[in-house]
Amino acid sequence: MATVRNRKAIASPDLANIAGLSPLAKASRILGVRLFDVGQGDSVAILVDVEGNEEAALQLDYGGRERNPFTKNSDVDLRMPIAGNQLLMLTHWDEDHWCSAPKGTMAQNAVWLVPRQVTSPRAVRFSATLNDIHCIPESLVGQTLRFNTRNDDYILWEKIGSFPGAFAKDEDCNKSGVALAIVRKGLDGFEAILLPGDAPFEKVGCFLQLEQQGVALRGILAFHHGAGTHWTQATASLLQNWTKAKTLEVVFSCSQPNSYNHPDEGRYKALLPTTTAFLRTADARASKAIAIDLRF
Amino acid sequence: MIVPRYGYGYWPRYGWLHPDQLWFVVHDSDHFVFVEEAVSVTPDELLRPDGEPISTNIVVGERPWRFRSSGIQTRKFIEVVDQFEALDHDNITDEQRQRRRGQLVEIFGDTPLPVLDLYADETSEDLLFLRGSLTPGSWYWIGVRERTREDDRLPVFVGATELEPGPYQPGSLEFIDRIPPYLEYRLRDIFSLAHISDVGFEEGGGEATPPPDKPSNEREDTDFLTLATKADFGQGLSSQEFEA
Repeated sequence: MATVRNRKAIASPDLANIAGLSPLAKASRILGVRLFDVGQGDSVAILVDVEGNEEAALQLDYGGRERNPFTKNSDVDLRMPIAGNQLLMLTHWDEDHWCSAPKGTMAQNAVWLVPRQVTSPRAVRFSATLNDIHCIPESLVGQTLRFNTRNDDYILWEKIGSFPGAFAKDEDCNKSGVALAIVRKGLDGFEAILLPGDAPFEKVGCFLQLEQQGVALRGILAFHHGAGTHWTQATASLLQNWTKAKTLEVVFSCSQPNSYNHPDEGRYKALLPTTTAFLRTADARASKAIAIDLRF
Repeated sequence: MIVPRYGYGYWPRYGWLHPDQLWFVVHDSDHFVFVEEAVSVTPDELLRPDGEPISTNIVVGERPWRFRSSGIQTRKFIEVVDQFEALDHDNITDEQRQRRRGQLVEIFGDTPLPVLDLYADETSEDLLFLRGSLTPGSWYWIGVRERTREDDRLPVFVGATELEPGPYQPGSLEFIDRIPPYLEYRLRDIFSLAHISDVGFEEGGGEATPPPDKPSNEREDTDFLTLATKADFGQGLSSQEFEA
């Protein structure tokens, strides 16, 4: 059984509403997530209902490195549109999580909320081109923050590890970045979709909170593109013991093929119910789709 | 095999050299690089940093490791380093952030910052050294040279999707060395996120929201944090107003 660390849940009001941008303020419900086929990398849009219309309220990551589907730069905006002033959160600064942004124009006009990390010259140079970019204060590391809709659905998010300082040499950016959980109230109670970035599930305090609270697991974006690295007994125990929703879908966001041997699908299959659906963003391309939607 | 070109015997000399003097002893293909990834990969599906397939004629081994880094030409960095003000990362003013941001764009906007993919097979006698040294988050000085027909040096691919194909597809690893301490300090200072301010939060205020297992009429009265309210998020946050 995974150990639940002592974390203080921050019952905050809708965070961005306070600052003048409210990713979920107009939303009546959270509909699900759109997991874009970007080749090797992650790019996720949070889909909501606004007065009967489906909208993307928040973008998480904007990556896509090897074998991405973009034949020209304008394809990026066409396939992954972002409204001006939309909030774009970055899980961490690995290039496969942001590298489509310099190719398009829309993402560069978004409001970026990013973790402060030791990162590459390429990432630093790109970040300097953004007009509206802000780091998450280190004082909030390990604390759960929350975006609310008008009703009962919400997003929990957390910066899971501390920035060791610009001169540190031992930061694992996968474990000091940001993770999100999308939570929706259904007829049978609350259900969650996990968006961990490249962080192992058990490293995310708000995930542990949801599991403890009995929120059913509805969907998973496999961490680190389905890699087998970073798996521990705690990772397996958390997934195995988590209450499952009637429908459970696991999505692997990676290129097909790829040099990393992603995903390690067997690890998930061994732990999750036989009824679990396993999907790959790369499969969307075969059917000429741009993404896989994971909807409540 | 890696030949330690500089080695300890040479090292103190470089440590004493002023960057202006170091400029004369570096090669055009020397780079200061930040290590991003060290991972075992599948040889059949490898791509160059510019996204093109790696030719089967290039032997990376049957069970290769890839050490992916990115960086800046040594000569270029030495040329511009003194233009950047050294920042105290515990006390950065809004003006310093703005100045740093402007310089990053102005000075490095058109500078090639290539990706360098170094390969070593699991059977290579250099692998343990590389795995122990080229760890993610570290900075190194890497020399790349043109590859010859019978070259047994480790292959290094240098490029990026946004750059024109260069001569090192692959090149050969000439040397790996530490960066003189002062220059590594400046690299870590300049290539940091110091130009980005924190989004502002302040204690108290707002309306608490219950966790999902609590009824909505029993809202928790806990400590909580809210974003500062003095500016529109979409209009850009002034770090002066929003520093935590």
